[in-house]
Amino acid sequence: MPLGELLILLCGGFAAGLVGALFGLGGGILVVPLLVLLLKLPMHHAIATSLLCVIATSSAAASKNVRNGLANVRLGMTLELWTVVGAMLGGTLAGFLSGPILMRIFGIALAVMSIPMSRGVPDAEPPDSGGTAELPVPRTPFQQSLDGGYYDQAEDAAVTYHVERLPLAMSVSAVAGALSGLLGVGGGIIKVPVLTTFCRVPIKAAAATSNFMIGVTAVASAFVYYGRGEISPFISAASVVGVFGGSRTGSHLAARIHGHHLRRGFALLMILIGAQLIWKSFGGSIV
Amino acid sequence: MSESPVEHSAARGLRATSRATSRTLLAGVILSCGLLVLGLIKAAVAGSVPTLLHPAAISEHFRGVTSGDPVSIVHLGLLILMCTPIARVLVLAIEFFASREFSFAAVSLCVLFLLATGIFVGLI
Repeated sequence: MPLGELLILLCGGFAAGLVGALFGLGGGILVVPLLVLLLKLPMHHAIATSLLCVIATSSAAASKNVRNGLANVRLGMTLELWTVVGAMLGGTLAGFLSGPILMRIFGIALAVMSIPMSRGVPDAEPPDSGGTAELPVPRTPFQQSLDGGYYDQAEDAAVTYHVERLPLAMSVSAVAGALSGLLGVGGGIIKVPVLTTFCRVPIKAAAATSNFMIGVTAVASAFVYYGRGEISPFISAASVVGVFGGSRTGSHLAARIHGHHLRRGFALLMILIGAQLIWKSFGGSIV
Repeated sequence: MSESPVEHSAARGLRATSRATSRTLLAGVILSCGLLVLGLIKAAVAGSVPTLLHPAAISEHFRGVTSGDPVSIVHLGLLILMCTPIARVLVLAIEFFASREFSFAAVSLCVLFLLATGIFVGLI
């Protein structure tokens, strides 16, 4: 591999991580198209590389979110049971699908994911002080133990919440895990809206908990790709280092930049990239 | 309402869990990225950056690291990266046991078992 290509990987990975962090996404959504469209890497290798990038960014962010209490560790561990199963199935299924087929699936997934991206994720209704009287459905002690709380520095207030519709969260987690294993994405773009809209988890806690889970989800399928010899060490190393640096920079900038102004433009970019992947899967060349 | 001894113990345990989990994650990422950067620099200096490689036995990579082989250094960095979330689950399982939250300890062990199964199937 020429050193120039190595530099492209580092810079491209940095850009992918930066943009991903600004819009609350993992680097996977941009890393896979970067590797396939620009560097002509086989799709399976690109997915494997993306999973490693997801592990790096997720682990770094989760270390902070766990320490400050944003990530609901109990809820995350419970849902991980389902994401891991889904991821292993997704990673295994990817071995039976050709590169062009995976490209088409990824392209369609990008177009679908652009919809919630363009709208932004609505927060749950204002969290209450933690009372249980208004909950309509009796909950088991285990479900009650999943309730969480954190200190919101922006609001200068303690926030507590109850987790509702746990079976729905488990089902969605399994689907998100399968997508992660199949396409090399983190799956947060599916999990976070469901956690906030249906499970009544505040968006900060939902994003942090989703991020907490993503690393384990990605590992579950990463070893499947590793065993098939689909991890390119130096391409993965350069991508991981680039994406990691970009996401750390992006997370610092995100507090200063209002991403909602750029959200629709990024959603359009996702559609364009998805269209290019589908075009390439049918043998078209990128101009 | 005052906190019961069980709740107080669980809260203290959770804070300790948070610290241990956080440090495990951060240490794994820093160590793996450090090795990846080192391997990339060594390969770039040598003027030879392989593109696609078939995975060698892990024992071969450990031998290669001691001799400064950039391929082995990068492989080791990637393996540590992949093991970081697994280590996090293990730490949580231990801490849940220590704070007597047996249901979550069982959940953590189930996740570990699933991951171990995936690793075994993937590597044989």
